[in-house]
Amino acid sequence: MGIQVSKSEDSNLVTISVNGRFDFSLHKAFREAYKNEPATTPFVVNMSGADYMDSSALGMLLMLREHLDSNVASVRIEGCQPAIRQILEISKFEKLFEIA
Amino acid sequence: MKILVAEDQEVNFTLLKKLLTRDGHDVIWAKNGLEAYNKFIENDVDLILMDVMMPIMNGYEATKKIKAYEKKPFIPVIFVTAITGEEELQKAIEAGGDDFLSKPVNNIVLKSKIFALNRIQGLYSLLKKQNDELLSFKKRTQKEQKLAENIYNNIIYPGVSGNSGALITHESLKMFGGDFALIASNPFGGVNVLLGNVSERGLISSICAMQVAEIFYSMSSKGFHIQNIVTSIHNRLSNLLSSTVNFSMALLHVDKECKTVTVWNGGLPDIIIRSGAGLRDSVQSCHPPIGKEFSKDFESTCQVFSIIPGDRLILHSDGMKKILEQNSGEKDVVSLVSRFENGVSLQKYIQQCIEASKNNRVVIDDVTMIDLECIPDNFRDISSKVEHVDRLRTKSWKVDFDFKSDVIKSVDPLPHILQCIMGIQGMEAFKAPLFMILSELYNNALDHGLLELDSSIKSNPEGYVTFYDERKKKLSELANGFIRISIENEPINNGAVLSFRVDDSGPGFDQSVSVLDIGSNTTCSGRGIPLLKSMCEEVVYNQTGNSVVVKYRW
Repeated sequence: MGIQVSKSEDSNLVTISVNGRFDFSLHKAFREAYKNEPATTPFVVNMSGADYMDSSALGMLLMLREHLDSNVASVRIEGCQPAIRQILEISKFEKLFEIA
Repeated sequence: MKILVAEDQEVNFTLLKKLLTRDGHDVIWAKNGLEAYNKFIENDVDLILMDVMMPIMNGYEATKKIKAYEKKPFIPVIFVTAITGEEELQKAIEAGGDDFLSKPVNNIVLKSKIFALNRIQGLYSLLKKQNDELLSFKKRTQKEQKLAENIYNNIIYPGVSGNSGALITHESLKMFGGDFALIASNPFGGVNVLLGNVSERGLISSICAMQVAEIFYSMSSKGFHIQNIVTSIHNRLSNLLSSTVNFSMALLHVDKECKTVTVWNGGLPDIIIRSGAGLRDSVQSCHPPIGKEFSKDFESTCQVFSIIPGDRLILHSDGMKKILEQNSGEKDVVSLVSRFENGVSLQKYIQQCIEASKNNRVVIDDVTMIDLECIPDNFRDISSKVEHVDRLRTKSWKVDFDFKSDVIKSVDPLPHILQCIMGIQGMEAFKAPLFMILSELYNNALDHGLLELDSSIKSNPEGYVTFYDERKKKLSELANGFIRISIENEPINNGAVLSFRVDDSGPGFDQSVSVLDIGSNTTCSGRGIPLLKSMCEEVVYNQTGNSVVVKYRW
């Protein structure tokens, strides 16, 4: 449950996997995952284990995006369940993130 | 043994009886042919000694009747006769006699003949028993095959509609051979496609297919991610299958805009992603098939590939791979298949291959292919065809929750509310939007109502942390107050409306500040209410801002 972070050895891509309920209760763990990374690190947020999310999770994703230098690194959100994807779409997140 | 002696002369009978009882046999006497027939029916005799010349009914007639009687097993009849003429002997055989014994009866010959015929009778019963077993087995197998066929035709196929952009080729041997194809829409758009192969034929594979189809259709219609569907199928089948049976499967989901395909391939040939110019990608099986022996290696991880509208996804079974290799002489089926510009021409070619193999009397396996053309319009078509069974069964209900401060402080009520709703009304597919609505409403009531926190603190990352630290502190100090939640479901045509009313004891907050358009909001907060407004039919706050009604159509 919660947040799992893994970093690939060859590239410096960081994958944050979110499980269960994605809301403010994860905000500290989520922030820890990127806080000490340079602004040039590309991120993947793997949502395949996330069952629920609310607007506080949207805020957390946006903060991750703000942490990065958008010219160099991007955030890719992948593995969303259809209902979660719908929430991202309603929030027009495909303009701000790569959603796979 | 129990031996029936048909003999009109008492002297002869007494002599035979003496010999037979000395060897431990039970003897029954019949004085003529008719009596012999009647006693044969009444008693379970093992052997009959039959005189030829008797009053009322002679030995030939009696033997004919006895042999014509079907309800008893094979009972040997030995003619005991003084006649030695060849014609008479022939008559005895024709009547159904099994052997002769000439008068006067020799004890050793009598003994040997009884022994020999008893042995034949033993063989006969064994054969008959085996034959009966074989016959009933055959009948059962025929019934099972019929059942397998019915399952296949009626239960597995109805989900596949003609106009879905999917071309399905399926050529099966006489009985259901283990391949099947399923297509279903997802309530949030897009389609799920499954191609399965059971390593056994007949009823086992049908039952297996039925289980898979049930899980696939019900979870697809409820909007589950294919990763969850794969896990459910694995859990069900690894309990059901014996250790020698495996289930190979490719399961994929194409999103409604046809931009990505999510794939799980366990044990099937490469899935071909074909784009306008030719091969775009091929997806190898990266999981073992589903089955007891692979259970510990099971993983539900899916791969995600980018596609564009108009791409074709081609899934095929081992049988199709083999038949293409045999007929084209090419080893690389992926490149062969991706040369066909459209599904129809590929399907035609496969039909030719099947015909050629049949003409050459090559034994073919099940040949199955799904050729899915990814066009968003096609997908909308399937969605409208698939009935959402769960929606048809919406019920009318209302629940009220009244949370006082001590509960609010110590318990997170959202999962309990959600579970309660799921218990009343199965609405799995709507769990995520339901959670979102409840979470927004409850947290607004708590954060801005009871705790009187200002959401503008959250506008920058540091503030976000401060906000939740502050929230934690204030929550622990909360001394009184309440949050009341009423949820009511009312079925309407083609669905239902779920109404939420949330009241809190706080002074109310100004929700009008968050009317910002959700798309143009790039800050980290202020998304809750706009999100609610886009998902729900109605979001109405009272003047004070401590009571809200939300209506969600589902």
